This record gives sequence, C-alpha cells and structure tokens, in this order.
Amino acid sequence: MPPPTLRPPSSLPSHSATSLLSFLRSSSSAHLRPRSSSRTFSTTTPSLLGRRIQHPSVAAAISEKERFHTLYADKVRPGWPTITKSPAAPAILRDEEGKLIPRKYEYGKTRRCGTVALKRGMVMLWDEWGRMYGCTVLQIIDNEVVKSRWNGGVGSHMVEVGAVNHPNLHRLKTDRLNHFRRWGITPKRYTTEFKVSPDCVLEPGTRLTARHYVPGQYIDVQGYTIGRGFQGAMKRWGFKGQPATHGHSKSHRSLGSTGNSTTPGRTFPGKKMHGRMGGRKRTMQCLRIMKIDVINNLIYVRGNVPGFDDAFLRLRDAIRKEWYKKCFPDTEKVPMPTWYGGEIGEVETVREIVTGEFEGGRDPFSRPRREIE
Amino acid sequence: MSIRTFHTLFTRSIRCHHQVRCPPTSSVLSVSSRNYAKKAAAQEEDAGAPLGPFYPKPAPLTLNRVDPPPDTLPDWKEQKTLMASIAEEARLRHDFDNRSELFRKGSPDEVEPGSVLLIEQIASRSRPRKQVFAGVLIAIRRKGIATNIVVRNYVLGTGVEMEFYVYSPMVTRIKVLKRITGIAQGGDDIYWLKDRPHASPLAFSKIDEMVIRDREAEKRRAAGAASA
Repeated sequence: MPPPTLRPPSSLPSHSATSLLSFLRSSSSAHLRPRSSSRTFSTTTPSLLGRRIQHPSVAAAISEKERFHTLYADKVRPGWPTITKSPAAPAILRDEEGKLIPRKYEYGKTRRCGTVALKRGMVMLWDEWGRMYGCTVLQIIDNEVVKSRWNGGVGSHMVEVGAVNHPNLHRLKTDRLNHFRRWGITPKRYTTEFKVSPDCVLEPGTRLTARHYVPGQYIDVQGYTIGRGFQGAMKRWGFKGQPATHGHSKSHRSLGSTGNSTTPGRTFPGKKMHGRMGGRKRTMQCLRIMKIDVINNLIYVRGNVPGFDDAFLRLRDAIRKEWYKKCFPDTEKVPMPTWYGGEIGEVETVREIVTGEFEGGRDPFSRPRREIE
Repeated sequence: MSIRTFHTLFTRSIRCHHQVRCPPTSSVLSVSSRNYAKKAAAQEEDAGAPLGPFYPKPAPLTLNRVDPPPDTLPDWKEQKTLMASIAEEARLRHDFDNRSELFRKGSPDEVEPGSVLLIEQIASRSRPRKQVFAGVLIAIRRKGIATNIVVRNYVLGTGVEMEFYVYSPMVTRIKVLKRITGIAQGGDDIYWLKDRPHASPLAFSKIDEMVIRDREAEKRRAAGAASA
C-alpha cells in the first residue's frame, strides 16, 4: 500500500479528521489498529499523516482555520456546558467615514473598560475647603488595548489591556510574543481583561490614558497585598495573646483554645490559626479621584491601595456607586467609550484637572447654627 | 468630707444648719443656651468676609525633575525620582509666604526647637475667625509637604501641645516671637522639656505678654498703613 502524501496541516480540508476516523474504524485497516483498546489513535496515526492528531471531540469542534482567524473564538472544552445564545455583536464604534459615533453613559447599562496602573507612592493634598487628605499616586504607563473578545462562559465582552512596554524582548516566551504579534501591539509586561458592555468594546491598539477618568469620580482598585510570610495569629487575626507574667508558661502569643471538648470532638474548618499572610488579591472600593495629571498620566486617589510601590493595579469605575447612580459628578462629561484626544492639533494647556465642586458644596468645618431671635 | 456636709452644701432647703449660700436656680444649674448662642454669634461677626476656595499655585506644564536623596536605594523604575519631584513641586505650590525657609535644614532663617512661635489659624473658610496659639517649639517633623511642628504652652495651668501642618491653607501666619538657639543641639525635637519646663531659657509665663505686644504692633502697623 503506497504511503499517503505528506501535506502541510493548514491546507488539509476540514473533513480530514472524520475521514481518518472512518478509515481507521473500517475492517480493512484492522491490522493497523492498536491491539490494546486503551491506547488512543495518536500512537498509530503520526506516521501515516505526519502531524499530531488531537482528541476527536476537540478536533471536531474547532478547525485550525477557525482558531487562528476568528475574532471571537472561544475554546469549547469537552464536558463543559455551552452557552446556547449567540455572541452579542459589539456596538459599531465608527461610521462609514471612520469618525467616532458619540455615545452616552447610562447607569445600569454601561460598563466601561478599566485601566492598569502602577502604585507610585503617597502624598498629602488639601482640597478647596482646606481639608487634608492622604492621596495615593497611580501612574498609567503605556496602556493599550490588545484585543477584545466575546466570553461565552461568562456571557459578556472582554477587553484585554496591556501595560508597560517590555524592555527585554529576548526574555519573552514564544507564545506570549506571538500573541502580541498577532494583534500588532508592542509586547507588554502585564495584561489583564476587563468585562465591558457592548457599547464600550474597544479596538486593538487603542491607547488608554489618565484622561479616561473624570476627577471627582469613584473607582475600585484591585491589587495583590504585600506578602508577610508565615505569621502568627496575633498579627494575622488580631488575637490578644496571653499575659507576659503571672505564671503563664511559654504561651504568650499562642492561639489558646481551638475548640470544645468531646462534643464536637474536632476543630472546625476555617479556624483562625497561624499561616501565610498577605499576597492576596484585594479590592479597595469607592476611592475618590481628587486630581488627574494629564501630561504625566497620574491619578491622585484619596486613601490607600493594596500592594507595594510599582505594583500593578487594576482600576475600574466603582460598581457600588454605579448601582446608586453616584459614580460620576456629571454623566455628560464621561469619556465614552474612552478618551480619544481632543481636536487635531490641540495642545494640552493645563497639566492638572481637579474636582471643582466648591460651588454647590457645604463647608465641612461649619456647624449648622441656630437662628437667634 | 462626710456625706452630711456634702448634702448640706448642695441643698437648696432653708432648713440646713450651716450658713450655706444657696446658688441661684436659674442661670448656673441650667445653662442658658440663648446667652451662649448670642455670644457665639457676636464672635463670628468679627470673623471677616468668607474666603474663597483654596487652590495651590498653578502647576507648571512640566514637572521639574528632582533627584532623590543620595542615601536611598537604587531607583529601579524611577519611582523615587517621581515622588521626590512631586513632593518638591507640591511644597513650592503650597508655600505662599516663604515659610519653608523657617523649617528647611541649612537655611539662614532656620528656626530651632526652643524658640517661641506664634501661629494664627482659621477653623473654616466660610467663617475665617482667627485663632491664635503661641508657645515653645518642641519638635519639627520634616516630611516634605506633610511637615508639621509641635508647639507647647500652658493654658490655665494645663500643659497643651498643638501640632500644625506647616503647608496647610488653614494656618495663615507663623511668626517667630523669639529666636533661641542651642537648646536642641542639632536635633529636631526637645520632648524632654515636658518633664523639665524649668530648663527652658524663657519662662512660659512670659509668652502671653509677647503675644500682646505683637498684637499691638500689628494694630499700629495696620493703622500706619491705613493712614499712609
């Protein structure tokens, strides 16, 4: 029997897998089938076709052509439930001439893309009433949208954002490098995905800056807390310990009791004990933006955020404030879907934008006075 | 004292044996809120016109680069340079009357702990009533824009320490009433003065007359400026 001609994988027709299976199952090829039924087809077929055959269910679900050339490809895992509804199309971003279609922010319906920032440090600021706040400085460096996709498992659009151009391209692994090459983006050190509504899906290559946010709005900041290693219960859970004197022997910082006696006769799972502390992903919610530095892409946020200096943080519009329609001071001025820049040729004249809510507010230092007759 | 004397001192009954002068019932035992409110209103009428919103000096378009202090660890991602530049620029923008020269180490106008300072501050911008506190400077905490000083004095026999943030917009005036050197010996604080007030070169009792003299001098200056 002549050996089959070796063809490159991309030019194979999509029915090649099924034809191979039928060939292998037919009685004429009984001498080619493996003796033991537990072995898969891959032991015999590589020599026939010259390429690796995958598990039949995966091979049937996506063809190689679909995997590499579809914007909204989603891997189908065997045994996982599939979402029956079709992926929703994102709202059209530009009209025929290529101009942006203006959009409005609607509470409850819109979810904008987030950004990635670096925690730089803390600084003291005084607002217009003279109140002092400790503010964290967050810097947005080289944020670009890598790609957008439809996540069938979650049922929403996801926008992948990359931050900080990678300085050493030779250190990147090939799959990661090829991921950026496929979408035409300079390789980034950090990428993350944000869930967005259909009218906020962004094109690959869109630059995100500090102007994406509005001073006076609330944001959520997610980051990994500083790792503190293996710590005792006093530091980890705030236990009081035992006295230093009065006869207490060798148990000044220990847990003490871990439960009752014969009943229940065990220690409950979740009992607070010594262990590894820190290094967890935490979200600080509803932090107010006091000031935005437009030229250096800095955001001054009231309060503290998790992580050490230069740590990567995910920023997004505060969801709890969105529920109660208090996230933004003025919905009209929210850049939708993101800040694309002013008019062509416009130069930034002002470096810092502040909240500017003095006019309507009440002096926090003045007490309400009773009227004297 | 015995329970009986305690009772007789505070009773309003005429049947007490001791010649106790019973206090009048109306104004002391129940504080007249109307009198208090009138007094507060009178105090606030001389507060002056409400001040507008506070804005620091406008930011220049470029952030001037300031090198971090030389004994810090290497600056891997330009974080220390950025924060040092921001802190320096914030200090310049919040300094309206050159008061950073008083607290900068190595400046010719440097004030040492042990000196007597007078500090005027306001409680709110809508009712800017001036509150004056004078005392001995016992600590300078240099933290960039969050630099604060601790001033100690005795008010009605009780020791009081007040902390003031030097670059705060609510601190309107910092004046050196008497410059004293040699107490701190190069350090930034003299907390031991709390336990040894007699060791200060200037007696705390003299601070009140210095404040009065300063107030009269201000009035004369204001009158002279008005007439001229």
